[in-house]
Amino acid sequence: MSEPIHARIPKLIRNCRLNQTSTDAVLLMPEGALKIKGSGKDVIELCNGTLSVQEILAQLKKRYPQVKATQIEIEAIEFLKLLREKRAVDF
Amino acid sequence: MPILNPPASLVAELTHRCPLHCVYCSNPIEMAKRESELTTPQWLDVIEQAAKMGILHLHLTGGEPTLRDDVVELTRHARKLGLYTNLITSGVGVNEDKLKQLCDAGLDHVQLSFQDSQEITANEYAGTKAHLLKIKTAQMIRTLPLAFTLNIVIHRENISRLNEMIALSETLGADRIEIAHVQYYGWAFKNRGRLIPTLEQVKEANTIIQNAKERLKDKVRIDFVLPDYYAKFPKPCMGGWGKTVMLIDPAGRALPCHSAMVIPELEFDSVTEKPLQEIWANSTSFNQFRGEAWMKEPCSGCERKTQDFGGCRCQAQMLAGDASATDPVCSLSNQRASVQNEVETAMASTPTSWTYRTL
Repeated sequence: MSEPIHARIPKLIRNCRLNQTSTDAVLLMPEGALKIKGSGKDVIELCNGTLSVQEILAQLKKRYPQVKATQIEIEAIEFLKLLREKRAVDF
Repeated sequence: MPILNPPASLVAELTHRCPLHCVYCSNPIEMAKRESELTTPQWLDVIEQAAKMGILHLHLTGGEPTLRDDVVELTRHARKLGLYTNLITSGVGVNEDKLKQLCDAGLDHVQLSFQDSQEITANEYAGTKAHLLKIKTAQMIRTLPLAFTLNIVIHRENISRLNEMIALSETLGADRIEIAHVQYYGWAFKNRGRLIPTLEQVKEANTIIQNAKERLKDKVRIDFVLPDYYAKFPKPCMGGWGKTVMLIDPAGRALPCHSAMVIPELEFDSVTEKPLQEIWANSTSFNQFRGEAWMKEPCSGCERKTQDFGGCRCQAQMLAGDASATDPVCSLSNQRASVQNEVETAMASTPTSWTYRTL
């Protein structure tokens, strides 16, 4: 836990999966489900156990060039922490 | 009227048949016989309706759900419709072939329960020689790409071995360990004289669990269910009545919770007669304790009512004789003293024999 968050490698927990319905996306996990809005899907897809938080942020910045880098950084890290708290992602 | 959301989960009790006879089984005392079980097409239809309603999780349970020949077919159907599928199994009678078939059918998650860390007492609580078979099943589960939760049920007689039980769960490679004090419903209510732990035991278990959580925090998730009779405030039972869970029993009756049948004033609709959505929205049993209108004092004026929803209706029925009463385990209930009596009576006179679950 001591290393800075940017170096950590987020990974979806075992058998946690995104389910896309006609209207929205839901992250299904052993103990519950989370409604996922907007670019949340991108963040989740990047939690593949190989990319670090730093690399995930870089990818998101590429995908959303119209959004300010600092905003991406703040929002994505906040979202990752939420996913960890909800126990959908380990890092 | 606020918009009624669909339940998050459908609990499908496929059968009440079970190779185990656990002394704390939460199944009702009056169980559904094999002849009354829903057929495969009926279950397939229920699952289809559930998915259409927007239900996300399907818990296949029982009894022992794998005793039904159609468990693989039902799993495949549910997964195809996008439901997250969870199998809650005793681990007895599930061979490797069946597990692989379930996995291929898209099963997401398995929950396997253990009675103890040592074989003799584990088998005693289960009423059959189940322990070694469970260990084999756990080992098979771990070779498959399934999320694996191991459930440990603790009570006065096995709580001293909690550390060993956690160690066993680690060895077996569980992703998550759910440690639950017995909840006193169904058969557990009959056996509560031997099951209720002492306050010292409860405190010691809390410390053990805190330590295990700390030690395993990056490896295994640990969830903990408190013992009801020692709590200061009641549990938010089922996440609120008719709010997040719908249970279908083997005969097709739709229940708001596992033990709702203990409340005599309730009448239950059946999926063989009405659509799932109609039952969820309109049945008297689901609406009886939905929201807050039914609450009496102290619940109705309590700021915690949106957190714990007045606690458990079945417990209110069983301990206070009134399903609309505040859950008697609540420190604000005027029935709290009777719960204390229950605990003291249990401590004073330990029955020498178990009442085993029988169909």
